[in-house]
Amino acid sequence: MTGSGARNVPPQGRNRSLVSRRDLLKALPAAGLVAAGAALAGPGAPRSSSRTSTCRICRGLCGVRATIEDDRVVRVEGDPGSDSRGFICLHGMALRDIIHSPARLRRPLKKEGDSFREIPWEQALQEIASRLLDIRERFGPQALAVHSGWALVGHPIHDFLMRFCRSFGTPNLSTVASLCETAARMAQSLTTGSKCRPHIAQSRTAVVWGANPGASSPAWERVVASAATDGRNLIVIDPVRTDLAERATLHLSIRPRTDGALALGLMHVIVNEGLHDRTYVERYTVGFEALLDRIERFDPATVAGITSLPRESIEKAARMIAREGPTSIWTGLGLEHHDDATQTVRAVTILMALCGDLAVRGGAALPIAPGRRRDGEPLPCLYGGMTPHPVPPPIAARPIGYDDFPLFEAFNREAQANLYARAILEDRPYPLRALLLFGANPLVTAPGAAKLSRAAERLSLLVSIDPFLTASGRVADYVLPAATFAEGTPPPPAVTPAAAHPLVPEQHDSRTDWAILTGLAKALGLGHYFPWETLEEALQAPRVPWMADPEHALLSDRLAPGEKASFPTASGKIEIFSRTLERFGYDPLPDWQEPTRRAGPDRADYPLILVSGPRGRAYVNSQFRQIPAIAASMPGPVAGMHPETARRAGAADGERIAVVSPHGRIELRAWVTARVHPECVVVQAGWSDANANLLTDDAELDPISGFPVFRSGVCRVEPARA
Amino acid sequence: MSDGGKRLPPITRRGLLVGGVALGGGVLSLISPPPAARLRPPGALDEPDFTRRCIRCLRCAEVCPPGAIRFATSFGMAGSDTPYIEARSRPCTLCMRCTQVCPSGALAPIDADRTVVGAKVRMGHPRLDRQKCIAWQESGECRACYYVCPYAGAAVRLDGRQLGPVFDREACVGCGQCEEACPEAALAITIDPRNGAPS
Repeated sequence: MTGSGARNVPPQGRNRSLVSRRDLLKALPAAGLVAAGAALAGPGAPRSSSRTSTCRICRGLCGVRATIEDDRVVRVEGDPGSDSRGFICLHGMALRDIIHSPARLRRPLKKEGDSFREIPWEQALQEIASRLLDIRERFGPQALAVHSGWALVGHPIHDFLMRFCRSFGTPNLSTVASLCETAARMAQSLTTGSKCRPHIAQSRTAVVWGANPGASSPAWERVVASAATDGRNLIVIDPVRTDLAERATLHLSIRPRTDGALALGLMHVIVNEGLHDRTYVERYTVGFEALLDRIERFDPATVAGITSLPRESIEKAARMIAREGPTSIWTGLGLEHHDDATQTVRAVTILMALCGDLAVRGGAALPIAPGRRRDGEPLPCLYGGMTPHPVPPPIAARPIGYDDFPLFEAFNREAQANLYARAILEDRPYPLRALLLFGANPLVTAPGAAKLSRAAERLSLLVSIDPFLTASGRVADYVLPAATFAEGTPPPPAVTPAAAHPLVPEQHDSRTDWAILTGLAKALGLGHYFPWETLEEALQAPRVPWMADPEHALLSDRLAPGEKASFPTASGKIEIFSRTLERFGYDPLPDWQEPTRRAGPDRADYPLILVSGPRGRAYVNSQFRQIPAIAASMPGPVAGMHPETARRAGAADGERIAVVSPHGRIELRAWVTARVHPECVVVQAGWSDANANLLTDDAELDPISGFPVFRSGVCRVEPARA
Repeated sequence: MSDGGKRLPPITRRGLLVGGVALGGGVLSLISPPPAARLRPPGALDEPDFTRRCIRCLRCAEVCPPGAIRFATSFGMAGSDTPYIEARSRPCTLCMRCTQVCPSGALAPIDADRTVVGAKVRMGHPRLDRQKCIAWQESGECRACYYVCPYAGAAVRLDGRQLGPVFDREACVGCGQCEEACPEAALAITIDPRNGAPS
């Protein structure tokens, strides 16, 4: 925190409405007991009110009810009248402490030498704008990228970030979609034409595969856990025995990055035993015959060897999934952070198809109806296909990632941020020189932290827009204090469930993301694209289509005349064989191959599989370490490992150890537990002082989605140096 | 806050000592209210050793990041100005800084390591009234105590179809996060101070 005056402030609000001890003691000798009595009674009750809002710290969007005294949140509870029926987790509880944290940024900061100086907003916006215009002049508009983080996921402001980029002239907008959920969404859409939402509540068998909803989606924990407690089946597939796995009917402690093989193996058993839904497969799928060749080699014995699972468990799971349906499968990032992410989720989706569980109650719901998606439109959930007048002119340049991951670009219409470091350092595909971070901290959360740090130094302009000074903010040229989602003046009515109702005004001199974005647009001379005062006003403006892209119309074939679509795909059916994948040069059928870089006991240098990134309950990625009530749950980073692994490495529970990968080394404490698969080391991500992404890199990516290999790296454990 | 207790801003100790000496104990002890059992900061000695050892220097409150440590102003020197925590409005976040700055040994120093804290700290013991608990009564969706618990899984786990909380008296450190989190409509959780003795 070199020179950041913002952090050197006394804790706020300890006793705003209370008499301080010193005042009391001063009063006593002079005025005697009468005065003391008056002082004890305090200066009168503060103005207190209750407001409801939506917690958008995660996508659970739980209703909250806050008690507010004199524009300070003093207490937050779940709102029993909301859809979440009163549920909130520790993050919602901590909203008060997040909003009023003494660590919040107060004023815009400008880097001067090695330290920051506070500057006024107008100066900050003008200086950033003039540097951006200079960069545009020298390198072209595509030299700017705008990247948004978890804090903005699902927020309608994304349409306007895209609008900002297009009006500046750059195609490079990126989001957490570069490494979160998109590989699954692409895989499901390539297969069914839509994202698949597990319908756990009505399923007879629920499968939670590479996910830990209790930690990452707490609001849904009960729905998932109820599968086990209601006497239905719950299968958990995870290299960590999570709390949910403890409750499960069947826990498969799988070797990471063998999930694709397991899915193919489950299909092998199901088809061999004739348990698949023949009518459904015949009526609604294409490519079943071709699949049979693929699954042939994935017999249970082979798959048991690949996955480290007992053969009997594989067969048992296959029969349960097929016979005791409807089966819904919740897939998580545990399947997506590998170099075969998209194909793995495709295999799981096809497994559901064989069992007749797609677009079926108790299986998976498909939010996109047949015929609803227009050719060439980006996938749902990211950007609306419409924008208000005037539409910014089309952009000739293609976003970063277009050449390497054309399908990712076609589906998402955004840049693949995992290639930013390369673009900055090697000017491939073209120079990237300016990066605006909206609530993102890539130096901690993106793969290849060491390389990204070097890249950050080479940037001509790095701007961090965040309520807190993050690791990425510390190396930025400008840091702009953003209000949290719970702040704003005057409080407008909630525009969408995802745009929360503010509880209190912007803290200190922070501004809402909307105010910052439009302020920047105006400073750049793009104000005519942002004529609205508020986001609400902007969302209400009439809209016209703007995302149509003739090139991507190729994503869909036309149905033959007279043919009726059952699924929103090109063929109108579930595509076991994907012609889209084929056209883009990928394997049109699901498959599984050994990873090119494999850990194992035969490797003296890296005998262990590195699993980085699983979320604990405490933090959301790199957020909230400044909040004491949250930090109490997880005061420091740990590396989970099996007792046998620890024994071999000479590590004891709680001891400081080092985890070393080909890319770097971090030191943290060992958490020795039989819950972790013996071949793995599970390292939490998000800590700037033991940054798991120093162990990862940006070179190995899933060829279809560009997703990083967070959960199947290689590593070893050795004693700490200190 | 019903008892007139206060959270403290960072203030100089010298000013306090001057005030304290000037006031003396005599006059103020005349109006002592009856003391009540209180949750002490982590590492506190048993009563009455704690009250005897504490020199009322306020350092524990000064370093407390959430401002959880308060001082009673009971006007009776016996219990006056010894630190306590009112979990309902601001519980302990287990950073152990108070134990490390305590100059008198009234709070025994404890390493901030999670395992050490889990083993050594016993500020109080949780008591759950299932009749009031939203999860057990299925009157809404609530697992707030479980989610805020720094030792969730050990000190409190979820049980039954309702996923209702079940506390482990022995594993709980008594920080009070759950008592604060328990919704106003329920108030089903109380941390009974370990000492149970008057402060």
